[in-house]
Amino acid sequence: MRRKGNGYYILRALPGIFMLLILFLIPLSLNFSYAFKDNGRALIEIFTDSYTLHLLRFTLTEAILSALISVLAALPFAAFFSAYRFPLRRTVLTLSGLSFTIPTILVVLGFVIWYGNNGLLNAFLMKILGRDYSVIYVLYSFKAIILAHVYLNFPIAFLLITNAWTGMSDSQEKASYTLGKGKLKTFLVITLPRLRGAIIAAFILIFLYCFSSFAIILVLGGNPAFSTFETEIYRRVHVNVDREGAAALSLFSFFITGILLIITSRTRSVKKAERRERRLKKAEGKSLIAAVFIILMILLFILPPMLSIVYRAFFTKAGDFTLRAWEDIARKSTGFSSSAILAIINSFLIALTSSLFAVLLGSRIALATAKTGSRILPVLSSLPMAAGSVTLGLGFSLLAVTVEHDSLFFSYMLVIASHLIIVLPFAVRTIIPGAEAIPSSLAKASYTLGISRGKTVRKVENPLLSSYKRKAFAFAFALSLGEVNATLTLSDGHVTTLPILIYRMIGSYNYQGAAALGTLLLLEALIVFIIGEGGKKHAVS
Amino acid sequence: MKKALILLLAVAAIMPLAAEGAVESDALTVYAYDSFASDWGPAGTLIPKFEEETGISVNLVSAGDAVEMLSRIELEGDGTDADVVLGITDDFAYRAYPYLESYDTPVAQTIPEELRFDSENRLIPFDYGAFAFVWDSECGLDKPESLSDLTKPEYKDKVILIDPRTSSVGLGLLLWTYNIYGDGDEFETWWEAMKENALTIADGWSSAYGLFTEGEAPIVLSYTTSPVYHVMNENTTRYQALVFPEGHEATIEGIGIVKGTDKRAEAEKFVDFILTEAQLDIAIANSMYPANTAIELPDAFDYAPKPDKLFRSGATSPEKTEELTDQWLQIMTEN
Amino acid sequence: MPYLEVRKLEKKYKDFTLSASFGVDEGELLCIIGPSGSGKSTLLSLIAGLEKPDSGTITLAGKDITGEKIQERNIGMVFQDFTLFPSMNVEKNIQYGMKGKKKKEEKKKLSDMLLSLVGLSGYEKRSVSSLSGGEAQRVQLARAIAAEPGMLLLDEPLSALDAPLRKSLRNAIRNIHDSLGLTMLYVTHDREEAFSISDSVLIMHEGKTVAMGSAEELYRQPKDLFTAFFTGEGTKIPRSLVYENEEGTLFFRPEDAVISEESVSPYDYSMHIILRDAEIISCEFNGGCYMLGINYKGYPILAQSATKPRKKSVSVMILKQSLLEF
Repeated sequence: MRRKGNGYYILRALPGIFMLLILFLIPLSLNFSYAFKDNGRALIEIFTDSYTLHLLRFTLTEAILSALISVLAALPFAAFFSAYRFPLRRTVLTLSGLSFTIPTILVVLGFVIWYGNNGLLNAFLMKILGRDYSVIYVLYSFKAIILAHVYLNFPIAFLLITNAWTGMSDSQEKASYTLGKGKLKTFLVITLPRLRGAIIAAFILIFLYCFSSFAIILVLGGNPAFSTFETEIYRRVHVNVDREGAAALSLFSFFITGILLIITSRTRSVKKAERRERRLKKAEGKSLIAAVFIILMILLFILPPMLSIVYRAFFTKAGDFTLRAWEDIARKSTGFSSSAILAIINSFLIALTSSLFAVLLGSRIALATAKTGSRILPVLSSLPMAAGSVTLGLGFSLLAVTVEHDSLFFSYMLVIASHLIIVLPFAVRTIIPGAEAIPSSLAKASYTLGISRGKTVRKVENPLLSSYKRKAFAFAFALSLGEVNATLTLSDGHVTTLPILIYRMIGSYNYQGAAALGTLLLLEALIVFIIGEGGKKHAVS
Repeated sequence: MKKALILLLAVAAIMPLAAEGAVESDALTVYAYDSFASDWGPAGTLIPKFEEETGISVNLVSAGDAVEMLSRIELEGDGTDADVVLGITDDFAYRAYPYLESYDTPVAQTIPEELRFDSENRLIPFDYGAFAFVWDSECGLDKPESLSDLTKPEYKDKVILIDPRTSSVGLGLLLWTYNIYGDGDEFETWWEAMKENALTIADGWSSAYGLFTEGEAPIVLSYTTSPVYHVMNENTTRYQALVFPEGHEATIEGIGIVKGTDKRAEAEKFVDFILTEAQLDIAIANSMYPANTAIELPDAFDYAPKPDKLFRSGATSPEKTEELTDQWLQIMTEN
Repeated sequence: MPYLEVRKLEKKYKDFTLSASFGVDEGELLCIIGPSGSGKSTLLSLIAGLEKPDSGTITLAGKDITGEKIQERNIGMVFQDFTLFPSMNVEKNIQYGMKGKKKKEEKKKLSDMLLSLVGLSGYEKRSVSSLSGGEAQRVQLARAIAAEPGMLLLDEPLSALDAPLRKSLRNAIRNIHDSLGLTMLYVTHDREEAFSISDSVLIMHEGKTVAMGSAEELYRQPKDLFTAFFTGEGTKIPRSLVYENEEGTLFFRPEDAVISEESVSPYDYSMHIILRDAEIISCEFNGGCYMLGINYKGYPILAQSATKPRKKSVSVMILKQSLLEF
């Protein structure tokens, strides 16, 4: 359904679309050229290999399950958070976005420190139950893969669905109650269809994220049978030096995620102008107890692996307090003290710049999507995610090779651009539900008052997006903060960020130092989140 | 408009950092893997030293891991800026040869014959390491004395392995076992037993060793030099490298001069510098043995036992490697 | 005992406390009116069970439902805003709340019947987003009735519609009420709507139920000034204006005040109070007669006149028996 007179919105979105196309087409065309080398020999080989099918089956299973469970787990919490207001509500929402910032290696470490067979949780349970052997064996199994994926992605589903839900008037639900329908039936038949847009958005983001995950799958799965496309692509890129095969594989996986994106883009959320946001009830009595319980549950799920990293930054495996890791960072002789400070500043500036641009461009794309009812735009804006990190990485390395650049400034620009393309899909997907909730009559009302289109967007429509933009910013910032590969590839190692420093620390056996740097990373994210949340209070949630 | 202002400020803040790293065009360009080129890697102190001594300025490029660096050389071809590449391993050396020039440096005479994998001296070894299992001597288990000991049932879920598809260390073990057991059934038997004894098969050395230091399992695939860190920084000899009588797989890192460089003389000086003065710093930073035997190592290296017998990964053809990986995958995934 | 009885119902909010007591007989159509913010909709929410009261009881058909779940109260509701389910078509919306196990054909028959009752035959398969405002409210009504409620609450169902539509739809609602004999609570802020549709009217003011009775009772015999003014036009003057040194307020409707351009006969003094030397400020023709705005010693007075007055200075005659004292 294309509506007239919205060319202006497309025009506004053009810089973002342009950016997406440029930064996306480069890796894609590179892949095409490699995949089709020698008359597509590599492609034929991939398609005829039964192992590809095995990989496909496992990757789909793992990604769909992770996405499904993350969404299902998030729903009851989102339901509660969109019904009640209570102390710490915003804090919990903020904290849940933190897990995004941690580089994969630290997530793995945090999981091992906490859930490991000799981890803190087991030590704690052994003490309580008086046993001298590990109580829970959750790691190194398929369960562990799902647990870690849900851990990393629960916040996406939780934040997106809560955001959409709180922005939805509850009169339809009330109508259903008065028609004698119970809470469950009303939820399934009335609320769920209304949340469909947000649920699908969350599902897609998580699916794509898990589709290209492999470190977590290999380490925590504990079995090479648990291999994804990315494992195979990585092997071909980094070990076999088989770029043609890697390109063919990544093209194939891109094809699959692309199809999925197109299918889901057809089922758009039912749009109905509603700006009558629900009034959140104050949690009292029973619901307050429930709130406490729910907060505890979320915190107990989200915090321990992160706090485990903080714990390890101060305590040795034996449990002795030590500041050695911090001394390692601060010691002048290693040149570490200056790198650490520089890395904090770099991480901050790169994340800030790329996420600000992502929100700026992303909100324009989202608004254009909502205004024109376009199906192409959301698909287009998700393509970089569908392409997967390795494909993008391949493209970036080509970029690094082809673009002659002698200045560090240019390195920074490249890094920021690459981060932008990585976080932009998240930003767009986060803002679209908000843009779709804006009644079209608002803009018309503004035009009749003689206000220009630009001012209408600025004064009328943009303020309505502010809560969505803030969420998008938090996501983008967290993602960018944890990014490693593109930064390394594009800056020739001249731009050192915190996660890069973490990997290097680990490379020299200093896991405790890495945990200390991880603590700094979390702290940095936390401060930015708190500042971001503290800004404007008039918006939802 | 406020946002635009913030962006402007952000960009302005980056500018001074940018100025600091401006690159001179007449410098010697060296491609190295990340961990060498980082500020606090060996380059942090070595490069300034070299520049001071010779007056040659160096533009150090951190080109990813060893394979990525190789890919980059291949992609760039003749148009590459690189004058010297540092850190190509012996197993991938054959891919780098077409892009390198021979350099018969007199300094290389101190390098033992068995390390010199290129007869034409296009790649000159500057350090080497040997893969080994590292174990926690306080875990209460019997010390495994040989590679075949590891397959004993008492080590069930006690060993952390690494996937050869995603890690050079993992690949190292695969080739190691192949070099010992050959094409026979023994190779398969060993891996089938290890499938039971492996707690997990990590994606890379970093997560594997992290799991090990967290106490998830007492035995991990790593290097013979791994205990050095624990001795030097944690003052403990608890973690020990296991030297097996069957021999060990070695990985040798080489440095070479890029074909067609217009800075041949400077490049030679740099290679010589790496093979002499830089040896100790590199060895300590990389936890490797220096290729130059004249170098005296710190005491902590006493805990990095040199295996008597070394296999060279470069001896296995790439086709064989792929075949082995596929065979390995089959063994590990069949029920 | 009334069919629905609300007794000492209380609900505290931050800056507002609702307290209500009243009853509705079976088959009655009670309109609740009051200025916006007077608590009408909150009262409906409490009765429907959408919110929980702090204290008090609600009894429906002799059963205490104060603590009951919404779903078990058997009370239907028509909302002011669009609450049709966009995921279903018109027919499915209506069938959604049907009680008991019904066959598909049976449901179909019922929903067709209800659609014809609300005048929307042929709309079965329409998507709800294609409906006009009036049509949407008719479907909401049909949907609520389909659930066979013991009584129906209507929360300003017509307030979003334009005037002619409001009139025709309110007649339709009244007809449906009469043909089904359904007890209805109808909230509106439109006095005319309330008077025309209701059996009786409940007036709310600042969270309290202040008066209840038939429209005529409330208009003719309001118990307080608020009710007097809220049920229609009128004038209040201090009692001392007429009777020296007496305290209190006098109220009268415009139709009880006539003007005289001639001198007043002594006979008139026995039946009327006379305000002499009043000045006409405005004169509006409102169809049947003229509504006059008059100034008497600084007090504004509303009076009616069948003819257009020619003079500016007149006497106002107010029928003594129609005077209300507060």
